[in-house]
Amino acid sequence: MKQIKIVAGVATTLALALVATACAGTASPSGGSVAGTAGGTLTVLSATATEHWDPQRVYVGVNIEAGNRLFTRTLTTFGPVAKDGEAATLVADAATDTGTVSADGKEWKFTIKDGVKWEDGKAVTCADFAYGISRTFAVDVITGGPNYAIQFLDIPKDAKGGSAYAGPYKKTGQDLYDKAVSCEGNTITFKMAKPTGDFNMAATMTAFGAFRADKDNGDKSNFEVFSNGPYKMDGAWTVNKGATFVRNDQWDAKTDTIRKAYPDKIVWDESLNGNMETLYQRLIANQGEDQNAITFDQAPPTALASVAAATGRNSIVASPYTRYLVPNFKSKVFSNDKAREALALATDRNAYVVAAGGDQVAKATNSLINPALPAFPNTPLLAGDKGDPAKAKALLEASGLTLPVKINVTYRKNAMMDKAFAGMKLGWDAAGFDTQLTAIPAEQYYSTLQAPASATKYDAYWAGWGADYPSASTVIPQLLDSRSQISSGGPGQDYGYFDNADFNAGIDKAMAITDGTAREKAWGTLDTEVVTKYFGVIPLINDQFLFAHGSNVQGAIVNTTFTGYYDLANISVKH
Amino acid sequence: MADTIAIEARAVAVPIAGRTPWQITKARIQRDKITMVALGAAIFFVALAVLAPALTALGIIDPMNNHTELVGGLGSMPIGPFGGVSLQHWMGVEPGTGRDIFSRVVSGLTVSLTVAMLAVLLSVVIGTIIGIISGTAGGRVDWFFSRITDFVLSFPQTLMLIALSTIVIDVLQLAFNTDRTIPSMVFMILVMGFFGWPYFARIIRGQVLSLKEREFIEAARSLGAKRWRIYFTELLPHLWAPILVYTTLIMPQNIATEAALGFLGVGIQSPTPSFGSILNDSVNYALADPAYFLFPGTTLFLVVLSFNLLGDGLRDALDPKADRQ
Repeated sequence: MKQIKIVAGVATTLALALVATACAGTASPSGGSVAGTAGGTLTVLSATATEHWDPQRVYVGVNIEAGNRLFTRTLTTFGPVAKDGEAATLVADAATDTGTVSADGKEWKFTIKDGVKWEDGKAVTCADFAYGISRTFAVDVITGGPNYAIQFLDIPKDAKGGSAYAGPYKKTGQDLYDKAVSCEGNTITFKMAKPTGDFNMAATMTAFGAFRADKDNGDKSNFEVFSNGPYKMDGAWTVNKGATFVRNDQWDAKTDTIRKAYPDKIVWDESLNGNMETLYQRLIANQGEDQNAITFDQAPPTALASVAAATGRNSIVASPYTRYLVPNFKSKVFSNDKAREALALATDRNAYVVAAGGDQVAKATNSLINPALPAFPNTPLLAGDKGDPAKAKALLEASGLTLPVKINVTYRKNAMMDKAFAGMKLGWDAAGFDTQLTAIPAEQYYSTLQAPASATKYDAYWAGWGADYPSASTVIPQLLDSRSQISSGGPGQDYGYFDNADFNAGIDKAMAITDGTAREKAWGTLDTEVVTKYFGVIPLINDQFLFAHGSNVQGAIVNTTFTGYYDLANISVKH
Repeated sequence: MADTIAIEARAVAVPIAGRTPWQITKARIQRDKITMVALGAAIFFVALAVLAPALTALGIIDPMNNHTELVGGLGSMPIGPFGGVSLQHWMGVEPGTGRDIFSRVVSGLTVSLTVAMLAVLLSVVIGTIIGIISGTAGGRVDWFFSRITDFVLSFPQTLMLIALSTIVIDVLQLAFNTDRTIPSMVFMILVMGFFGWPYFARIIRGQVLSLKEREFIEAARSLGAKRWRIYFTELLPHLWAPILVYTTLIMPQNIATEAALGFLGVGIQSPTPSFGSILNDSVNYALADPAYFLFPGTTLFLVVLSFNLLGDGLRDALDPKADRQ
């Protein structure tokens, strides 16, 4: 994954498996896979404007969830779960099974089911899948989506490091793509550049979904929906307003074991436009049509207490993210090993936890990998959750820097983060730093971090990351492999320019392990190493998401394996 | 106009002793109870603002340190009634951190009043100079300055502040090599000061236009006084009254503007408290913790009200024609 998309304070990578850690998880009353009520209208209230509906451009958890459950069937997907926080299993969707991989891990085959049809009645073919996936390569038009297809598929790179295939519009290198992705009847074959044992998990993202070539309008397809799932869009999408999804009569329930598709209509109303306070006031008030409403926006800190009080209508689940601090190795201060250790020691995670809304909604962590992942190493905190400024000061005095050491720390601006960082600044200042805080607006946060000019401007950055699917292969190498991340265009996701040959060798070693358990364990070891030996990242907290829904909604269960939002597959409306 | 008759009647009754204009003004203010109360309140707020840094240094107020033990539950709300009001924390504590709201309001007063006052000073200096030049020079010079005044007046100030804030604050931050507090204060002073001067310029110009026909100016001119001497030695002393009145009237306007900008998120940056940054945060808690909004909101209201009433009172006292008793 090349980029984290941010929408209204929620980092938007795909979510991952959460096991039993869902603290205080409140099961929905209608929970489990109890039979729902067919018919009725479900309302989705959204305070966040949708950026894309184009399956290849979607990288926001909400839209991956809704896209997959409503109109873009993928080869594989994660099934619905019976209660909040339960781990979901990987199941076949448009394919007959979850794929077969060759012994060397470099060739994947999927067979597409019969009876999967587009909304105009034509069958979904292997060619539609090959075409859909090829769109990711048109990086100048199809922007915003994940680029796993470019990373995984066996297509040579050009001189600049991009793919030699330029996508279906320019068609440069089409023969290379056709060799990597080929069709034989209904069977699609993918050839990988490297052994990719978990490709069938990546295939759950809508970016690996089908797209009909004759319906492709390039950039203009951004909000167009051409469905092969149970719902289709009624009319056109209006930004900041939304649209209504109605039943797609060409969808055959017999081909689909995942989607129950209970409601007749799904009204997607994003007219609240940034106003999450109002959204949650309406959900808590539970009046009229709002009784049939769910939301994909998490409750703001101000609404936490009232959401928690709405028992039976709320969900508290672990978010897939780890929020962490990155010392900038290119800054004068943090190129100094002792200064980084001092920063880590003096960090008051408790201040962050309290600012985020207390220990029910945030937990201090010292691991980059989220607790929900099998690779989670649970590295102990260096000096408790409040830090040890005195010990840090001794270290800083021994570092050769003149106290107070001036540092500039950036974070993504919002009211909660203002408080969290004001609190952590006290700890750092007590340790002999002179901390300047720079709050950067959400819409330009990560682009600022990735700008080459920031390397000499800031000393440490806040960042957040969640795995794209339940494997730490989507965490450690994506954040810390200097070879794949750092280029002349900036640090990629290795925001702090962490560049360590031993560590990179460790990544290569872990990558080469074919046994899943052993590989995840190796990722865990690398995580502990970067945190406690190199102080290359300072993990801060794992947060929890709170959601609420109206009283008529049944089966509103958060699927933490698949995106971490309410799962639309089993949801229904009492009427 | 019954009032006028009443005034004349009373004017006859009061024996007229030889009093300086200052004595007259003072007597008028002292007679006006509301203005006296407003004056007392304004002096109190200014004194508090001046003393706040010293109080912080002495540890009497503590606007920055967290008291995480005073907040709890989901959302880290203050423990106790009225937002955690106690003997130690008169206005309660801030949700999410437990910082003392009273200390933050007092420190915020320093920041807000400093910004408002310096911005007014800047407006006064520019406005007075342009007003005097424009009023005395007349002709093309007057036309030119009047059009500039109109031009600046018609500028959408708030939009400018929002649009320019990030860029200008970034540049200032690089120049000063500090955190964003000082740069954001300087930015607000510059912009509010710059957009505030046309009010002064217009009023001063009007005053100058009537003053320059008076005999003492004629006398100075016929004696061969230089232009600058006329401006600053002859005219300026007669302009103190309107300058003082409008300073006290623009002051609360600037305080409110600072709060409004903080509310829009472009004001003084966290963690430095100001009315804007406190209200910007507290408004989110209007339902969950109303005390957090009420205490700082009421304080802001009282500050603005006291300066407004003081300004009104001063105008009544300094301008004999506007005696509205």
